[in-house]
Amino acid sequence: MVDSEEARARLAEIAERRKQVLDGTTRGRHRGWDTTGLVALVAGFAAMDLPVPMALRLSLFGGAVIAALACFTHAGRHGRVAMHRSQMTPRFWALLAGGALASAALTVAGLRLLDQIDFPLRNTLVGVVLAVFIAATHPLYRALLLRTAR
Amino acid sequence: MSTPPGFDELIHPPTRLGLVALLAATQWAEFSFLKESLGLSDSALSKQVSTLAEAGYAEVRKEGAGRRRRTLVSLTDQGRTAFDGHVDALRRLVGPTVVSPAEAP
Repeated sequence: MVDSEEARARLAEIAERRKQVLDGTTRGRHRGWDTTGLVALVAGFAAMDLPVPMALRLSLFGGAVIAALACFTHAGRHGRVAMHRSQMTPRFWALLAGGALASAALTVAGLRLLDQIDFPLRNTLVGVVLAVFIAATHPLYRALLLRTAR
Repeated sequence: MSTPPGFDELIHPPTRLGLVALLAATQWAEFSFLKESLGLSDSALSKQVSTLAEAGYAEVRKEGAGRRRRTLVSLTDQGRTAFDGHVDALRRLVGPTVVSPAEAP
C-alpha cells in the first residue's frame, strides 16, 4: 500500500527528472553544429556588405539564415536527448518567442546605430554582435527554461 | 487506503519511476544520458530498460556505426499511457490541495 507521503515523494522525483531532461536538451546539444550555425549567421550578415546588387545580397542573406536554422536544428537532433512535445508548454514557447524578439530588437537597434555613424562593414559587425549575444545568453536561456518546469 | 485506478506496480519502484519519468519528458534519450542522470551502471540500467521493453513500455534502437554508434531509448505509446495513469493515481493519493498539476508532467 502506498501512503500519501510516498506518493508526494514520487511526484517530486518526477518533477526533478523533468528538469534533468530540460537541462539535458540544452547542455547536450552538438556544439559543432551550433557553432556552424552561428558562423552561417555571421556569413549571412557579412553578405549584406558585399558590393553586389541588393537582390543577390538578400538572397545570400536568406540562404545563410536558412542554413543557420538548419544547423541549429541539427545540433538538437545530434544531442543526447530530444524533448517530447508534451514538454513544450505555453511558457516554453513564450520563452522562445521572447528570445527571438530580443535578438530581432538587438539587430534593428544595432543597424540603426551604425547607420548614424556610417561604420564600414556594419552588417558584418551586427552579425558578430548577434552571434555573441546568442552564445553568451545561452546559460540564461537554460536557467529560464528550467523555470518553465515549475 | 486502496490503490487508485491507474496505479502501475511495474513503474512505481523508485529507480524505474525515475527512468520512466525521464523517458516521458523525451522523444528519445541516449543510453549514456539516462545512465548519468540516474547514476546507474550499464548493467543496472540495461536491466531496467529490458524490464520496460518486455512489458511493451519502452523500445530500444541503435543508430550510427563505429565510434558514433549510440543506443537510443524511448517510451512507447503504451508506456506513456501507463505513466500518465500512474501520475494521476499518485496525485489522487496525495490529494488535490497539496500538489499542483504543474509540478508533475
